[in-house]
Amino acid sequence: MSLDQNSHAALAIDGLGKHFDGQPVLSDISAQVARGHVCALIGPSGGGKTTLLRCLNGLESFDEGRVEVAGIELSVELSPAERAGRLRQVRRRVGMVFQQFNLFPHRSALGNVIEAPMQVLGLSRALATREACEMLDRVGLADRLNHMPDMLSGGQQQRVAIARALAMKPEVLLLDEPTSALDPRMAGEVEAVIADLAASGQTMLVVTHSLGLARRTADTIYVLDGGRVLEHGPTEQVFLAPREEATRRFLQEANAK
Amino acid sequence: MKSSQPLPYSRTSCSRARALFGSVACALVILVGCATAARADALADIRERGVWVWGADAEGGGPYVYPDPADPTRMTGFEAELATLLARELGVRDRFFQGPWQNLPALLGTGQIDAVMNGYELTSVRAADMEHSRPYYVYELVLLARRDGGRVRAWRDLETLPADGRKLKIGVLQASGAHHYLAEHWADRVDIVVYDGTTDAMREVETGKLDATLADLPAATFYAERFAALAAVGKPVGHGYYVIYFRRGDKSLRDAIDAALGKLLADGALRSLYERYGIWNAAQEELASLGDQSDAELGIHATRSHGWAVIRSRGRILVEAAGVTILLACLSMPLAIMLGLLVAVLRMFGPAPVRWAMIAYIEVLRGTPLMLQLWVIFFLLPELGIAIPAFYAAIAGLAINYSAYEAENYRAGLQAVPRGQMEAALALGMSPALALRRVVIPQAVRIVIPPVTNDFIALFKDTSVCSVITVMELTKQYSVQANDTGAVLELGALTAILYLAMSLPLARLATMLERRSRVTRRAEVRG
Repeated sequence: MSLDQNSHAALAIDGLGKHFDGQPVLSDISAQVARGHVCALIGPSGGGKTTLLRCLNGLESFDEGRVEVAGIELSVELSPAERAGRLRQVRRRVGMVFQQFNLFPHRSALGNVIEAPMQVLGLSRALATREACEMLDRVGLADRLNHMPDMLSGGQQQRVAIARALAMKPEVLLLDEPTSALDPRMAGEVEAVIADLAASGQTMLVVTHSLGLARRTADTIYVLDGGRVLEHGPTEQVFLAPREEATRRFLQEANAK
Repeated sequence: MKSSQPLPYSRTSCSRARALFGSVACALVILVGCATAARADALADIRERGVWVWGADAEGGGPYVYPDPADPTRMTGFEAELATLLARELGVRDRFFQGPWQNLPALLGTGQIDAVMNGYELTSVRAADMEHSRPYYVYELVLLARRDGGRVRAWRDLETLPADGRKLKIGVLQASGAHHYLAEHWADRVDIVVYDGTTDAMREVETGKLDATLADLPAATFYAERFAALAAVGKPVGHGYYVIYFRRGDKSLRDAIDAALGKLLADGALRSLYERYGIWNAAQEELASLGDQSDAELGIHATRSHGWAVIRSRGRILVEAAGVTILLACLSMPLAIMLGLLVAVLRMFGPAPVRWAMIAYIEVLRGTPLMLQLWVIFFLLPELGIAIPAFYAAIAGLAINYSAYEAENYRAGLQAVPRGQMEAALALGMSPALALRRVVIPQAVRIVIPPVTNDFIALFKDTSVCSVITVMELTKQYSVQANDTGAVLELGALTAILYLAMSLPLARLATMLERRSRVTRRAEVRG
């Protein structure tokens, strides 16, 4: 499948491969996320989900294939200078939420959210602050603007991190295990925010080992195992009628936990 | 009088501080020594040993005591030869003992040497502390200035203030007769710059940093060839005596040496010795008649200020010098921090050649003594045409030296910032440089506050090393005032108190910051 045929996709991966010390980490990965859709990457630990996600905004490099994200193509043929230039564009348009939140500990909740709009987009402090307040209100933290990260719970920190990513008005939001570091109640708060974003049409790619989160928020599911796409399809189909035996086993084991 | 400063050997701040407290300790020894000095007869002791030990500083000390060019393991010079003649008169051998010029009296106090003979002028303060022989040389002072292009052509040039209002700078050896002479007669009209060696001052006149230097005639004669660009201005001035000093109470030794000197004078041996060194002149005719003169007749009134009186009269000067110390530390540390941060960032994130250069920068600065670095900046850069005033050279030297340590602090700090912070910043579209500036460095700065504060305390004490490049900071001023008054103990105690008063609040601050940063880090872990 060529990229051109998927020009309606917000995110397209074509034949992506990556190896480390001669060992394949990702092999011939192809995937698409349509605009406004939510896609979940699931699969056993060590299957390459997080690595794949990090290839999409250049936190990891890859060795084969190409990626088109938010209309910008990244491929192995690019010179280092070209790659750096494109990465800057990609990162302006693609937000990322980390498993460990990675809030800036020396900035308040509001400070975390206005940082990139002011420094990267050149917004005035007043405008950045107004937008940041809206974002923080949207994730339910309008009353925590001036709290430092270490005064917030894990769930609150992750919601600030989502607001921080949204402040850049990303075309695609990448979420790497957004609820894995949280206890169930806090995970619920964060999932509610993700569900709200999905409902508003935010394109998202979520790496998660929470089958519940995947099933409740994603339109499509990709199952990764051993660095390969095991199978993919609409969420209910993958959960209720997986084509592959390996997928069925993974779902059973994951549910049993 | 000592003619030159040794080349900088690796004397660290630590040994400087030790030297300071060492002299306080020596003062104690001297006091105890004074109380019990007469318990043994020094002369009988020397005869029993068969060796008379005399102390001097041979490092560049021509023509007094210096390594024999024919055999550098042996000492020569008119004092070395005089010592041999005197020992022969006592019926013993002589042994030279190397010591830093200013601390020779302290060495005498510890009993390691029997006498000090090294161009030590007869002064009221020294006469109060030690026994002294009859004069063995009449010294005069020569004003040396550049042959061409200098502003000093005659003594009267010192009287007229130049059009630009800048006072003339005249270098002298610290605590020497020249220093006293200038302080007494010219203090209000010229800038007196104090050196650890006269050849340093001569070099500075050559390079143009000084307008002139006032040196003892023998040294000026001896080094005339090496510093050919200098010429004597007008006639020699001042007039004083070199004497040999002994421990208080060693009267029998003094009498024996006086008798020996009298004999050498009478039989012409001293004159022929001085003539061989080219330092005999008309003024020396006086020597023969000085044997029976009392101190009062020589113009010496053995007085010594003690206790509160000296603290009251000199305390203010030391407090002002402490101000210089504070200024040096407070101006150089921020520079060191900024430079260190830049070096650390380039070392971690720069391209390979820059990284190697930064590693070399750090290793060279950490691997060589601060004293040597200051020496290079102040004494050697002028040879390349870059003359920096002493105070700014001191700040530059401290800042550069400490930047290496701060760079290592910051490297540790930058590495301690979790990788996720840089990734989060990059994922938001920041460039690596922006991510460093806005996200990583601010966190690293907080992490390194405690070690940086500790370095600030260390730097405070290291400012004392700046005295080698003529900066009148607290340690140097202590040395000057203690030499001038003989109140080594009182002023030493005050100096120590001043240092503590400056560093204790800093130490408290460091503890406080450390506690605060521990709290912050715990919170980060919880997050």
